[in-house]
Amino acid sequence: MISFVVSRLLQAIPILILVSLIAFGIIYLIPGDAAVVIGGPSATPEELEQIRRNLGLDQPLHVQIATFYINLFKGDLGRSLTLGIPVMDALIARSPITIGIAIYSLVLTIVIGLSTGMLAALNHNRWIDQAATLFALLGVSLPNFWLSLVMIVLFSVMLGWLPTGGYIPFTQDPIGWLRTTTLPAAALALLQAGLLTRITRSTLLEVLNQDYIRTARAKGLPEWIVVGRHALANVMMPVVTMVGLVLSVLLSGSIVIESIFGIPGIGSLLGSAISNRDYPMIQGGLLFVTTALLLLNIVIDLLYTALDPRIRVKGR
Amino acid sequence: MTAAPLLSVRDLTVSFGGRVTAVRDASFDVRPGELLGVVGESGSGKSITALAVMGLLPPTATVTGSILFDEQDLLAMPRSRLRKLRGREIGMIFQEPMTSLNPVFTIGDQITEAILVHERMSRKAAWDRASELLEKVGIPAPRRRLQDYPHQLSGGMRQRVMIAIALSSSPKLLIADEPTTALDVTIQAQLLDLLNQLREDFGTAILLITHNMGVMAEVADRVVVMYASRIVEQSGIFDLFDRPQHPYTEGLLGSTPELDADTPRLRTIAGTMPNPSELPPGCLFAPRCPKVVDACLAAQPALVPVAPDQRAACILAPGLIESTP
Repeated sequence: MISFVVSRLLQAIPILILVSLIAFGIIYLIPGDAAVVIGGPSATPEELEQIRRNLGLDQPLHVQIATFYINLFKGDLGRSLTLGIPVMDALIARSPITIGIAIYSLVLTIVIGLSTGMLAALNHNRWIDQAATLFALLGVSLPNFWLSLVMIVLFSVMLGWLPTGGYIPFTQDPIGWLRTTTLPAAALALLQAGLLTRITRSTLLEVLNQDYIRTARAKGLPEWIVVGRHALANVMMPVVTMVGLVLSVLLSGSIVIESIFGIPGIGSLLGSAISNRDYPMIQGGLLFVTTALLLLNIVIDLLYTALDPRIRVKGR
Repeated sequence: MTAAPLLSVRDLTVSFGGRVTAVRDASFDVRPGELLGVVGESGSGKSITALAVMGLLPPTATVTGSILFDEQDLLAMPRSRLRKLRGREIGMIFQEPMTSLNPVFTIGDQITEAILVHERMSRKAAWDRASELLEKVGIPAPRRRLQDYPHQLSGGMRQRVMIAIALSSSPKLLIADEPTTALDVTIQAQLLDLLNQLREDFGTAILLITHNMGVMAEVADRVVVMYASRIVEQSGIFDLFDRPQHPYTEGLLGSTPELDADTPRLRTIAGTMPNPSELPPGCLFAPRCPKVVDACLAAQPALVPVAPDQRAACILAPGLIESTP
């Protein structure tokens, strides 16, 4: 098992190198002179020179790359142009907020997606199935920013149940945290739950036709054990695969959702960094999000081996 | 007839969606401790009959007639009671050992589960029982095997595990649906021996479904021959081989390869089984029957006694002709 983890971590290294090179290269993707774009049209030649020196753009390319990697290993991602604080500090301060909402949203996704998908499969071709399929289709096709706005209008403006935006840290007030995060988490979750409903439904329908389900029934097991234990254990594998995808979409979706709900997480941080052309922040955010996703995928691979004994033996 | 039958199937008819009838008017008995073989081509209704007894047909099936097990009608009883009977009184093993065990649970898990659903005992005791069962079905080092997952076992081993599961609550009836078809010939023989031995040890009656006449000859006491959803002959094993009454049975026996016989080429039954949704009028076997006469096309002959403990559904059955000169 340890060798499996180590090999997965080693596999992640080339990807990280590639991503860091892309992050480094972002500054060169700016059309024309980066300093002019960053400094704006009113910048004096002295100010431009100052910006170039700050970004290291006056150095030869290999020195720039070396400096970039040395700083990276020291955990120094540079200084945000707009916030004036180190990028790393900003990311560390904001990440718990986004991670909290992502987990909340993931829990909602799994609960809604699994239960709707199972209900649909167990009532195959009846109205519940059709309703669930329709729900899944809506979830998949509605854009989540639109959904967020509709939910704000419905639950905050018309019904007044939840605040329209803002954020209260969990450590400060757990109920307040729930009140401020439920709408954004739900907006993120509904789309994913739609996908998960579809996968759960089709997988469960397939699994229920398997010979081992017939065996389970032939043993005289009650139906809830046949479905809840024998079928579900085999449905979990595609579901876990799906969760890996869900997480990456949750992180990218958080840029839009956090901006809409005014939540000071990584998403809104990156959103404003992009619109303010805060390049060090964009670089740092890219690296941060990619590393997080790589680690999450390794965790998911581990979960896989825990769920499926066939993989476990091969991995040995 | 000696003892009261353990399983008594009367006029069993199974149809799907009102169009396709898979089993028609099937009536047969399984006596306690006996091995009844059901033989026929693929699609003759053998497996559907077995699944009907287990109550495991898909919900689209319409079942009529009666299935008496220990004098209780399985078709009339509530689903919950039927479920409790399954596994405890009637065990079943299937054709596909490779896919019949759940891939994500250990063998031990799957056997003890079958024990614990019907009997109150500790997990520890169930685990001990599972180990004994594995030993009984001839699996070496049973303690260690219990920890294994199905993919770690061969097909023959898995089928033994399936038998262990089916026997876990000492059922009175074991239904074996082509248990050896997917296995090597040597493993087949071992498993048949095992079934035979278990029958002697536990007095379990066995309903063995196969398309293999050789298997029948080896283990069956009596045989039911099915053709295109109907039972065409029912007979003791020796009478069946010595004096087959139905031309289809004759054809089946003729197409069984014999090692020492000097036949240049294996005989076959010409033609194919009729499509169950468009059956011919009259005797269903008539289009393929070498002895067919005009009267065969008029009506489907009933399954009638033609000799002591031998029934056939053929107007030309030798037994019939002899008794009515």
